[in-house]
Amino acid sequence: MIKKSGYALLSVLLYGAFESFILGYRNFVIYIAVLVFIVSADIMIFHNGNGRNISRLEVNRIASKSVAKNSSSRVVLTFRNPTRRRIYFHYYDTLSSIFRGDGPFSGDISLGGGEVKQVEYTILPAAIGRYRIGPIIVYASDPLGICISSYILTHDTFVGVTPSSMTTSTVRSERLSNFMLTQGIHLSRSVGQGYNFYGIRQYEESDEFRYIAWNRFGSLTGEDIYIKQMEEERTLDVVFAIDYSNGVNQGYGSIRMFDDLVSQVINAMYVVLRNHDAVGYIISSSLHDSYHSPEKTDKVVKAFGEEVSGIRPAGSFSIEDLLDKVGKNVKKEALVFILTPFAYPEKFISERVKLFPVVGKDINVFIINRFSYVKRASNEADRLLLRSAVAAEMKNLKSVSVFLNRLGLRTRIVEREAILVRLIREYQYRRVVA
Amino acid sequence: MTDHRFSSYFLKFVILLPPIFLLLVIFPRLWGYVNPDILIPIALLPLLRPILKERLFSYVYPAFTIFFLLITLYSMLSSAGIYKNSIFNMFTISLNEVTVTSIILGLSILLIEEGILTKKIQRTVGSVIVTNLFLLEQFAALYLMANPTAVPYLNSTHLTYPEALFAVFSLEGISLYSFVVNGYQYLLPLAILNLPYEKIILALFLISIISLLIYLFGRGDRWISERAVGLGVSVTAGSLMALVILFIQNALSRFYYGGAFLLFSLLFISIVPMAMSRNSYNIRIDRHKER
Repeated sequence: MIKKSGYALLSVLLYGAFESFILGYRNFVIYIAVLVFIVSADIMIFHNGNGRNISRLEVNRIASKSVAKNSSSRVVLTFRNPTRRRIYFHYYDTLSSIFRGDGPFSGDISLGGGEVKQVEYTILPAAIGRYRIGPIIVYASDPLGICISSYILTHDTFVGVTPSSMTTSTVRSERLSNFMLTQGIHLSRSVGQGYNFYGIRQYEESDEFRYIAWNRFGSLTGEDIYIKQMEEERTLDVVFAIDYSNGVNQGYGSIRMFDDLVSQVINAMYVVLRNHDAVGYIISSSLHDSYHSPEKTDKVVKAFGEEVSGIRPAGSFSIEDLLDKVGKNVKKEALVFILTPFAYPEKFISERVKLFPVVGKDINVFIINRFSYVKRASNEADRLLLRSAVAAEMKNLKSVSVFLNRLGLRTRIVEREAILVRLIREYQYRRVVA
Repeated sequence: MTDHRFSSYFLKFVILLPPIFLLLVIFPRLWGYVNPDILIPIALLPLLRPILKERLFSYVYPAFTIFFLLITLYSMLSSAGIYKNSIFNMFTISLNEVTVTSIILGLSILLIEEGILTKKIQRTVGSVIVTNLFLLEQFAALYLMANPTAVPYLNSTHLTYPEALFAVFSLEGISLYSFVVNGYQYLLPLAILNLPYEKIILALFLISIISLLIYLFGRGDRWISERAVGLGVSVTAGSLMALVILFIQNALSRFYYGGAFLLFSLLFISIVPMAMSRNSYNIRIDRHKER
């Protein structure tokens, strides 16, 4: 295709040819004619040579379909020239515009007839989710630079980015998590009768002999037998309900709210699992609806990781819908953590209190403060603007928090850095009072 | 297609040598027929480019054009006695051939400067052609002033510059008319004048083309060898085509149809690449495998 500048050049040349023809100055006529012929020959030769041949290039891209966040993955591009003529072109792999690329994801190549060339580069995904990766664009230009031939070698595929092992490693390492989160206090107790002494009662025939309180034997009538009652311990079901609407798709650079939520929930899941409790999850938005019932194995964590690597935040969020889902799916004794930024809040007015579904479960709502995901202002004016916006936002979030507390939902506003600590604190509190 | 190196500016200067030479020949002779108040501001406009930033400079030409048109409007109104203002009087210009000559000469200088300072080579080529045309007309007018008898049927022994310029334009008109009506040309203004410095101008044209090719070859560092082959083929093919067509044109000149043949050849040779250009961009093909 001739570029705009090429058409402009041809137009000027034609005008010059016409004028020189009218003026009749032979030297100038020859000058113009030679220029016109060179430019035209350049365009014609390009369109019948390199410009046409690049469409016959064979390109192959090898990239992993599933990549862990923050871990580099290799991409191999293979170019083959099936023709007998030399082809020179510029290529650009659009995969690199989705992930951080390192290496020759774009460049110039010249291939002789039948020649094959491989280029390798690495990608470093910065956020989890499912990404559609685009085509490889190949284009060539003529020697005068007035034409361009571009071919889009299209074959859309998807790459899933799973949560990084780096962000969850502190929790999977018991020593680190003790130091950082539980301060060495293990809440893990054996499931069954329990160890804690509750009291004594009169012996019944169905009771086990081993719990007889022999030191109380015959204390009233001389033959009366008492049995020790132990505090019964049960497994706690912990369900993490995540807002996965467009509202959590905020942040900058590699700092993304949905990314943080997922990695911190995975961290919390490991803590809960190590305490011999069961974990489950709900991923909720108008477009995502997924529930995994609580289990005591890390299969849930893996399922959660896989699920979030196959989707991206989309749709809108409604806490009413989520409470409905919790009411229908989660059993009564479970501890539910709802994590949402309330980026597009519903109308929290007093009259609507009665409209909210009564779930009757132990629900904790964590409102993620969005300003943890706003880039720091670089100048004083922006800082002042941001500060006033933060004040307004906090006022709004506090009123939402008050409203939800009135519904019996334990609600608190959390900063980005405190998500995991808050989750664990609430879990520990619930574990102690349960 | 952009380049900022000193060598690129130098090559653009060499590409623009033919109009620069014509300007050097014309300028001293025309100085008496120009108004410096109009010529100098127009000629100095491109020099604002290095001073102002690119974004600001984009407003310079439109602003100057509006300003100039307003001055012209005021001058017309005041000369007709419709509107007069003591403050605006200092900007009045006389609407005569001196102003027109100043504008044409100023524009020629402006285009030469733009051609050297621009980052795009297409603009340089455009500048060469347009300024050559402007200046050749002026050159012809000056030559006609010196040799009024050079044109047949022009029964005058003394011509002023405006008369000579008008005579050149008239000859152009006759040439165009005879081509459209008769199919061949008659009284080609520059062909019948037998202008001086012909050899120098021809040499400068050759140097200009060679410099253009050197510029295009040396642009960037991508595919140097491949581009050299492509450029070589284009230049050889283009020159051969030009040679054949000029030879035929020369043969046909005896029958007055040489010019028409050349013009239609140029038109044809420009339209063919444009036709080829269609449907050759952004074709999505699904040939590459992925795993």
